[in-house]
Amino acid sequence: MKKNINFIMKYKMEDLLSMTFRMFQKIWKDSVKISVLFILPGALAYGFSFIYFFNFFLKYITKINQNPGDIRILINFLTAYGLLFLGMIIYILLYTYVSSVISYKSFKKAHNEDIDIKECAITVFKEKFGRIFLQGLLKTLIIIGIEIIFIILIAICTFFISYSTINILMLLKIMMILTIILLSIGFIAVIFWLSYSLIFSKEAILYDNLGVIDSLGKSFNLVKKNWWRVFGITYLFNLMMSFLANMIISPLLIFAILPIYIKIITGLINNKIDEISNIFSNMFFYIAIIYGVMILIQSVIIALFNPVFKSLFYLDLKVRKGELEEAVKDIANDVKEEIIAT
Amino acid sequence: MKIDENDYKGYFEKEGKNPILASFILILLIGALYFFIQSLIVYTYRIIDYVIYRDKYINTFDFIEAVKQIYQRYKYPLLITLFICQFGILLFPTIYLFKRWHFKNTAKYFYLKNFDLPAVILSMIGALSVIPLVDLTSRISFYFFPILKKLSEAVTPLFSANNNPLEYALLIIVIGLTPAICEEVVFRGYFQRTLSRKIKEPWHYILSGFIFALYHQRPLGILALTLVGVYLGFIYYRFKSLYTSMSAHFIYNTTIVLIMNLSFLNTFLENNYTPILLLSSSLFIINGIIIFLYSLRKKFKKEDEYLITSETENIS
Repeated sequence: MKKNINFIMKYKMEDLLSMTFRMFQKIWKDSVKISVLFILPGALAYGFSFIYFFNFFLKYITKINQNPGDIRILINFLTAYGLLFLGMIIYILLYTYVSSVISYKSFKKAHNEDIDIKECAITVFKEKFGRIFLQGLLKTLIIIGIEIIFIILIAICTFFISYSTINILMLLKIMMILTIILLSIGFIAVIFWLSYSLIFSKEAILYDNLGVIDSLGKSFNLVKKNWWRVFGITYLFNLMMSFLANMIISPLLIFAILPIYIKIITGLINNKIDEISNIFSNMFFYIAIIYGVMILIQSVIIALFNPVFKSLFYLDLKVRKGELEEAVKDIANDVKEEIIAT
Repeated sequence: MKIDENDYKGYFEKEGKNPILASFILILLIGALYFFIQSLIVYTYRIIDYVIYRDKYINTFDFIEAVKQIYQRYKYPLLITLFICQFGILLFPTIYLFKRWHFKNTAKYFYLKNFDLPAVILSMIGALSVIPLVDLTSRISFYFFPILKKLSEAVTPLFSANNNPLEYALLIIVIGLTPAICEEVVFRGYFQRTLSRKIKEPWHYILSGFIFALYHQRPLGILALTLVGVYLGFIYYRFKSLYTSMSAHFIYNTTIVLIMNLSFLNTFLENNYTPILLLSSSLFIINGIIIFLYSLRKKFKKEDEYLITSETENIS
């Protein structure tokens, strides 16, 4: 009786890492297929919009300095920025969808349920993706909202020091500077604290079928008292994945655009932005496609491991919080019955 | 209950676990931490530098000159950072994780007990003869893209000893000795040694050499670094001794530092480049054959087979 045996134990860091790679071995073919299929358009959209924006930026950076009041430049800039934003949104949506499907598949696999990837994709799209999208949006808004409070406070303090007409005391000035430093630290700390506290909200929707608000609460409760562990292991894992992606991507990227790369470096060294801008204008499609493909490879590498890792971590946290005690008891009973029967 | 050290098997040595997977995880983990912390420190230096010398940045348009100046100003902090990161992030965590994941006896596993003087000398000769070959790859890229030569000149202040014996000593310790110890323990002693338990020759040292090259994150130097990595892996496997690859790595790095600093050596190499290249290439091949034959004669391989057949019992 090996059913459900994968998730009844508390994992150590080694367990999480090794099980992630083992799980990857089991589902990598399906994961690669779905990743390439869905992330490709997103990566190309992002690649094209980014290169377009970058090209625009290089082309007009001198003109903006020359004609700071020219409204056409501002409109063009906003258009390029809007396109970049659109490209990013398409990419993020598709990436989130793919990672949700892989996560769902690995969750099912952890329960020894072999479910077809197409079925996973349909289930996630029909039943869960709307909520996943909303929780992502809500999470971002919460974080931005809290950060705005910090920004306002920092701005008030800075304004007070810089523009105050009253000749304020030196001690008060020092206190204000200290407050700004503390608020800046708080600004960064809150980003980390919130994003890691709400890190499992997507998994809560996928596995426990919770609503948008409940999923955030669930993630918060699971991470509570385990924050440092979650932060440490997840951050380390993300670093590892970025390092792996960089190791593969940077030589590929540089060799794919070697002559262009050399020209860009030459332009940078000689401080000739016009030359770089011309390269980007003349070879726009080539550079954008190469860049898109690189984003695709990088995203696929991360999408293959990250959702698997997070799904295992989610189960581990549930065990630690005693939420799977019933499941453990059931398995123990099953094993007992099996032994008696044999 | 106290665990007997002889019975100890780490997490990835237990039944059903894969030590090869452990070696890849460790390389990724250590590499990610190493580059992350190192770049965090280097960027802090840059920010401090920008705050202090803001006017210089605004008035300077020469990119190479600006980079050169940064390296000149922060030469000692950068060298000390490199030294601390190599030991603190590469070496010690590797040993700690090895003991946690594999066995207690690091010296035996990493082949730190076998010292053979002729093997060390042969390895060092090979390392010296590989330098002109590595230099050839740089020359080819400089020929096609001359700007890269200018770019590489930007880092010269970091390796400059300024004819000062103390600076020579510092450079030899930080650039020559430190990577020779730390990188060899990680890449040959641990990574390649673990790969060789399941992967056959020559694939384990080709793979570890390639990953050694990728790990340095210098895309244009991949060919040269792979050549060096494979050579170091080859001697390590043939002689079953970490001292051979450590000494070869040390002599390789130190010679490069000396060539960069001693102008007469540099001039001599420039004036006689073609004969030196031909001579060293021939020497490299002949030395490789001698290493191969010598390793067979000394039967280092037999000892290794003994280790693999009853590996867990013997290593621990």
